[in-house]
Amino acid sequence: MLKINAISKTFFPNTVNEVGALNNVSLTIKEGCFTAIIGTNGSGKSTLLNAIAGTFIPDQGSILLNETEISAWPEYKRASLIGRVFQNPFAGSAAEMTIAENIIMAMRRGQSRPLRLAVNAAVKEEIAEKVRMLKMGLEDRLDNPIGTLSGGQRQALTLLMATWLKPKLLLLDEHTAALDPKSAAKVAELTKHIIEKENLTALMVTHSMQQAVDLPDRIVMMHRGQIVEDYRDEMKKRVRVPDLIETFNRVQKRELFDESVAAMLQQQYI
Amino acid sequence: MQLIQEQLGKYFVIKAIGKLDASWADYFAETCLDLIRNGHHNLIIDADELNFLSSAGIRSLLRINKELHSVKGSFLIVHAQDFVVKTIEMTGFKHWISKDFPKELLALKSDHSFSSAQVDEGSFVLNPSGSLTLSVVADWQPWNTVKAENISKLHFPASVFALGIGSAADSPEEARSHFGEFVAVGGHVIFQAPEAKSRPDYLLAEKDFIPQMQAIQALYCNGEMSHLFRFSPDEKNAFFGLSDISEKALSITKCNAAAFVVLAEVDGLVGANLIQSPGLLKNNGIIPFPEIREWLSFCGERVFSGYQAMVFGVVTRNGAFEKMPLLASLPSNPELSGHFHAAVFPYQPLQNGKIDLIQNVQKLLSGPPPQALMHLADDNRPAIGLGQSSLIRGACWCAPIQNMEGIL
Amino acid sequence: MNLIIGAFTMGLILSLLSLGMLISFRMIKFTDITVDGSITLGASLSAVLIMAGWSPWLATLMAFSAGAVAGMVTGILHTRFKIQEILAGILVMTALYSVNLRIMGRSNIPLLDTETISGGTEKLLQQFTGGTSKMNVFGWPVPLTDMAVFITIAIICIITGILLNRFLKTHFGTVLRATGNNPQMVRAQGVNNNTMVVFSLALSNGLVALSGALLAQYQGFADVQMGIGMMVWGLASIIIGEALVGKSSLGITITGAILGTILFRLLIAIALRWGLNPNDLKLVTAVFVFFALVAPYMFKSLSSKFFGGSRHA
Ligand SMILES: Nc1ncnc2c1ncn2[C@@H]1O[C@H](COP(=O)(O)OP(=O)(O)O)[C@@H](O)[C@H]1O
Ligand SMILES: [Mg+2]
Repeated sequence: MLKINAISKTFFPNTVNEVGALNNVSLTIKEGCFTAIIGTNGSGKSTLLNAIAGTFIPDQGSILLNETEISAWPEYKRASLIGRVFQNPFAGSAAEMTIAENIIMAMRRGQSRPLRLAVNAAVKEEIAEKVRMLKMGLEDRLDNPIGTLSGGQRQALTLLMATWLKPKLLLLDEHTAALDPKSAAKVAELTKHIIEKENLTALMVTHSMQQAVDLPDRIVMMHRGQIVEDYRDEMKKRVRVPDLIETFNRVQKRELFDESVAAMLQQQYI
Repeated sequence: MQLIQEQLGKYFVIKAIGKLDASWADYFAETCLDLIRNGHHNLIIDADELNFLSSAGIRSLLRINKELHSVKGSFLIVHAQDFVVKTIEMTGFKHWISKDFPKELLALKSDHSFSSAQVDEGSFVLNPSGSLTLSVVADWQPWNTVKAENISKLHFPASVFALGIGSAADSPEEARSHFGEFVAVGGHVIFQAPEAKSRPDYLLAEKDFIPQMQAIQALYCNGEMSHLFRFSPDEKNAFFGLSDISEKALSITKCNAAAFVVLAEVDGLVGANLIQSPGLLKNNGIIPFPEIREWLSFCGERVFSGYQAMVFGVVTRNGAFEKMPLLASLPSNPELSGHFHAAVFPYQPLQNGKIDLIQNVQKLLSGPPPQALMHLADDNRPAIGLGQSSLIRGACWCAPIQNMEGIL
Repeated sequence: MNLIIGAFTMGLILSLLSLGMLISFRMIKFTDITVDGSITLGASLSAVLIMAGWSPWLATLMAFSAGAVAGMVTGILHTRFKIQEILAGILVMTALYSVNLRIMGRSNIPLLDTETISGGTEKLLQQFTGGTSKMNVFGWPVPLTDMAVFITIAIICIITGILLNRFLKTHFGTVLRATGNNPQMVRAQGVNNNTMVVFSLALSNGLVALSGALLAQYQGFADVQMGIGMMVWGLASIIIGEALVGKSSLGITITGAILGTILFRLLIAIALRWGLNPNDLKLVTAVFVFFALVAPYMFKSLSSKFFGGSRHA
C-alpha cells in the first residue's frame, strides 16, 4: 500500500547546521492499517510525514503509494491520494472563508475545479448532514468564516475535510497536540471513529503514548531520523505505556554509550 | 494535622495532633512508611490529641501495620480518646490499642541520657565452618563466536550461588539466541533474555524442580554462607560502595577470596547488560565502537535509586587465585578484583537484625517482578565517570571461598 | 455637471484598475507593483492599434491580453524563480517601460479624431436625441460624446463586476480566494497554488491594462509616464471602498471597490477645484494611503494608552 524505501533527508547539508533529519528510513504499511509514529522531539516524525506528503523531495530513496512511484510528484499532485491534518489547527483551512466554502474545496480534493457556482442549496444540505455528525452545532453556522471557530472545532472540520473523499492515505501530524485536553479527546475520538468506519490507511504522529497504545493497529518509534522500534500485530496488542517508556529509555541509553564507555566496558565487562 | 516525632530506645513515637481524615491519611501513611524504610520498626502512635479518625485514616493505619508486620516490627496506639478506641475496636484491631507506653519506654522517658543506638547495626556469625566451593565456566571469551563446546549445562540446587551469562532454553542450540546475564541465589535463577527487550524473568526452585541453565560464562559457588552483616547510614557514611561491602566481606570472612549476597536499598547502580545474545556473534575478537552498542547497553547514569537490589558477587584480594578469569580489578579499590550481577526489584523493607537469606530472597521473588538485571561496572572514566554502584541500607551474607574446583 | 460626469467616467475607468488590484492585493494577498507598468501597456498598445486602424474593441481586447501576459511574467518570476513579490513586480514594471516606448516608438501618442469604443453608443444616443450635440441631464446640457463614454464605461464596469463576482464564487474562484488565505491548505486540496498565483496576476493585470486602454481613449492620448503612482491610487480607492461599505460579502467588496474609486476621483476633482496643485496630487494620495494603512494600528495603540492611563490614574 504505502512503501517507503530507504529515504534520507539532510537539511543544510555541508554546513555547521547540517541536520540528518531522516536517515535511511524504510517502512511498509498495509492497506487499512492505522499506524502511530512516536518519538522524541526532533526525531524526524514530521519530516517523514512531509516526505510522504511531498512538502520536499527526499535526497534519496523512493516512496510508493498504491504501487505508484510518487517521490517525484509535487505536493499538490499527491494530495489527490493523501488527506492531511496538521498540528496547527489553523493550517488546514482558509480562515476568511466560510465553513461551507472550505468544505466544498475539500469535496473536490485532487479533482478539477470547474467554472460552476460552488455553493448551492443542495450541496449545503449535504454538508450540513455530515457536519451534524460532529455534534458541535456547526451545521447552523455554515456561512460563518471558519476563522471564527475554536481550534478544536476547526481541527474536527479539517479532519472531516481530509477524509471527505476517501484518501488512499491519511496523514495526521500531532493533530491533537495544540488543543485543550477536552477538544483533544474529542478529536482523537473522532479520528478513531472515521478511520474505523472508512477503513482508512493512516499514519498518525502523536506525542501521547496513551493515544499510541489506544488508537492504532501498529506503533513505530523514531529516534534521530531512524525507526528504532516497530510494534505490530500481537506485539502491538501486548504493548502498554510503560513498555514504550522502557523502549524510549533504552534508545536514549544508546545515545549515552560513547567511545569512552566502550573503552571502560572493555576493562569492566568480562 | 501535625506530627511530632521522637526516638525513644528501640521505639519511635509519633505524636499525631489534629484530624486523621481523607486529606491527611496519605501524608500520615507516607511519613510512617518512610520511618519504617529508615529502619524504625517499632512505631507508637501517641493519639492523645488526635481528635478525628475517619475510615481513610483507618486505611492508612492498616497500611502501616501491614508494612510493619512484614518486617516483624511492632505497632501500638496509646492515649487514644474514647471515640478513636471505639472506631478501631469496631474494625477489629483492638490489639493495637494500649492505655499507655510500654513499661520499658516509660523508664526511658524519665532517663533521657539513653542514646538512640543503631539497633539494626551488627554482624552475626551464621555458621563458623560455612564456606563455598567455586567453579568457573569461562570457555567463552568476549566477544568470540560461541562454539557448541563453550556451552555448559548448570544446575541450581538450593546450595548454589552463581552469576554468569546463560539461557534457560532446554537445548544448547535453542539457547544460542537467548544468552543473557543471570544471577542465582539459593537455587532461584533470575535471568534476562536480551532479545525480549523487556523485564527479566526467573526460575524458582520449588519442591523437586531444580532450575537449569545453558551457560557460556559463570562463577558458580556451592556451599553455605558463614557470616551476615548489616549496614545502614550513619554519621560517616550516607551509603556504601560495592568496594566497601566487598572489603568488609573479605575482612569478616578472614579470607582473600569471598562471595556474598546483598539485599539492600539502592543509592545508585552503574552497569551494563547484553541486548543481543553473544550466541549470534559472527566474528571473533573485540567489537569496536559503535557496533558494540548493538550488543551491550550501558545504564548511562546512576539508576534505580530507592529500589531494592539483590547483588551476588565474587571478590578477591589481589594475589589470591592467580590468573583467575572473569574477575576485573575495581578502580575504586585497586587491591580488589570482582564480578557482580544485580537483580533490581521495587523497594521492599527488610527486618532488622539477624535475618535469613533464603527466606528473604523468596519473599522478594514473591513480590512484584524484577525490573532489571545488570552486570555492575566500576565506571572510572575521568570527569564523566559514574563511579561504582552503591547501596544505602541492607544485609550482606558472605562466605569464604575455600576450594576452587578448577575451571569447569 | 461636466465636472461630475467627468469624475464619474474617470472613476469608472479606474475602478477596473481597482478590481484588478482587488484580486492581487486582497484575494491572493500579493503586493503587485506590475500595475504601474501594465496600465501604461494597455494604454500604449490600444493607442497604437487604434492609430493603425484596428477596431477599438479589438484593440482594447488586445490590451487586456497584453496586460495578462505581463502579470503572468511577474507571477512566474515569483513562483518559478523564487524572486520576492515586490522585486518581481519592479522587474516587470521596469522592463515594461522600455516595452511601452518600443510599442509607441515615442513617449506620447495623441488619439485625435479616432474611433473609440463609445462610438456605437454615441450613434445610438444621437438617434434618441435627434441629432443634437448636447443632451439634457437633470437640467444641465452635457455633450453627447461625454454622455456616450460615460454610459459605455458604466456598462463595461457593471458587466465586469458581475462576471468577477460570479467567477470568484465558482469552484475555481473559491480555490483562488483560498490561495491568499492559506496556500498550504490549497496544496493539501490538490491544487497547485503557484498556478493560482500566476493565473490571478494575469487576470489582475489584464483588468488593469483594460483600464489603461479605456483611459487612453477617454483622455485622447497615451503617455509612457501615465502609470506612475497608479498602484497607490488603486490602493487608496480599495481602502475607501472598504471603509464605505465594508467587506461582509464578495458582492459588497466588489461594489465597494467600484464606489470607492468613483468617490476618490470625486474627492480629487473637488480638491483640484479648490486649488490643489496637480503636482502635489501624488504626494497627497501617498500620505492618505499611509494614514489609511496605519490608522487601525494607531487607533488601537491610542485607545489602549487611553484605557491604560485611566486604569493607572
Ligand atoms: N524545513 C526544515 N529546515 C531545516 N531543518 C528542519 C526542517 N524541518 C525539520 N528540520 C530539522 O529536522 C529534525 C527533525 O525534525 P522533525 O521531523 O520536525 O521532528 P519531530 O517531528 O520528530 O519532532 C529537527 O532537528 C529539525 O530541526
Ligand atoms: Mg513534529
